[in-house]
Amino acid sequence: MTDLFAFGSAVKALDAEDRYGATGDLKKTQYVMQLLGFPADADSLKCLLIAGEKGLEVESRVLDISAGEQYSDDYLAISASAMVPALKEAYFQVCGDLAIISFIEGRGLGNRMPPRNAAVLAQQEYWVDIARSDAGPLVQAIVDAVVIAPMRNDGATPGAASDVAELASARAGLVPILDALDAQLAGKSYIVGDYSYADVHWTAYVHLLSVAGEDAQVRERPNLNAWFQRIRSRKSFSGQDLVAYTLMPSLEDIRARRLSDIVITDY
Amino acid sequence: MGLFGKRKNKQPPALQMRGYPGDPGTNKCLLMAAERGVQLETQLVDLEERACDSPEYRALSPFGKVPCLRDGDFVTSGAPAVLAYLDIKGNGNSLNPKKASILSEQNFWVDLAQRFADPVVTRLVSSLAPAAPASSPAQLESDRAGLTQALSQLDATMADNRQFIVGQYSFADIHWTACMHLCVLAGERAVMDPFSALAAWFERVESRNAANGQPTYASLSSLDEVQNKRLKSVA
Repeated sequence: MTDLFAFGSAVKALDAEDRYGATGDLKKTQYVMQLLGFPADADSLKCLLIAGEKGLEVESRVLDISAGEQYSDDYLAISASAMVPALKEAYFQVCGDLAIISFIEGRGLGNRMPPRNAAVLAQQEYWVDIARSDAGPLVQAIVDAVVIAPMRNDGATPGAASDVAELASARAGLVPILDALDAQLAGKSYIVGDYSYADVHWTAYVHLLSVAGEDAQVRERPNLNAWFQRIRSRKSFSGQDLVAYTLMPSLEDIRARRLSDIVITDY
Repeated sequence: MGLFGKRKNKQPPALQMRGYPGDPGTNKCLLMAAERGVQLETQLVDLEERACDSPEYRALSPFGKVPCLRDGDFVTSGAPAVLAYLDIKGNGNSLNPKKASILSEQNFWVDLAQRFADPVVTRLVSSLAPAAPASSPAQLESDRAGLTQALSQLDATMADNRQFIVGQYSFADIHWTACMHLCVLAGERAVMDPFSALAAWFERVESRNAANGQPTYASLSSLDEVQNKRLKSVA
């Protein structure tokens, strides 16, 4: 059995100098976090985004879900349900986007991200729910067909008739969802007003749509397009000199199976 | 009595929720309301008749999410949003743990319930409807196997002498109590038999009282209510 988290600074003792970040400023409070994820997996991207927004250093390792690595014995020893991604900080490890986002948010710098007002919090949860339950499977279907299928060397023919029908169905399914998001964003900088978890989830899905060549779905909706432009250039929530969106993988990164690390140098 | 005391004694009007007695999300919200001492007046959305797709319901919940909550002018829908709202509106501290690692653990169990338990439980409970077609033996076997895999993880966690799933009572207990309750109604209590720590946890949540002294488990739908499509309110 191989420990998939045995990479980067984690191969050193917990008290080694570089377990505490690039400049050592995390010392005695936080260790560099380790993420096992995949660049075309929206949930992995959400975790990078929240870590960037909250100013936490992350070392990433690719778990190749295009090759089914999430079902390997090594990964099932970390996540019995094969939930991706997985995160480890020192002795604590957890998997799945909801758990990792809340852990990083709690461990990170700056103010608390979830809204305190009940109605705004409920709105955030509503838009996270729409993202994960309604948009997520459709975006993933498009990414699977357009981006991941060609990466698999399994003899399947990308662009087969079944793929075309599935793509058309996923695109059609996204129309009312993106229309609703566009309407929600009217007059707002972010989805529920201030930046929240809702923006983290939607950034990952909209980015993957863009990588899969579906930019027009965003461009043709003015409020959604303006929001996406804001997201692409916003400075981190915790005030570090980092634009979290720059951590998102390009199509080339995905094909090369590369996932960003996060290095913070201005604590 | 001071100004603030006078204001505190004022009983807030009951919130209104539309839901379905066999729906896991609706049951989670009933339990949360009971746990947090929030009054709920309820109304049925007949999912068997696809009432969630009616124009009237879609006007409230554009994607047909159930349950749907109204508090004055504020409307939201879907269990995650309604649960978050009820938690904040309730008495005392939020059920969300404050420590990041425990909050994260809670959310892992919530995620596992949503991904693996809710779909299985929904299928199991749908078989209770009078006109429901019987599930295929293969589907039933697959559902039981999937649920057993998730429950074995839960049992291993509970075996660590924990009173509740993450130690303190949390959203994780709300989600799993509702799921396991509906399993019991569907005649699948035996799915817990191999798991002694899980069974002990279930006895604890069955007999739990809210901070106001009211038993919380009684807020969940009964078999009669599921079969006859009646949704109880939370007083």
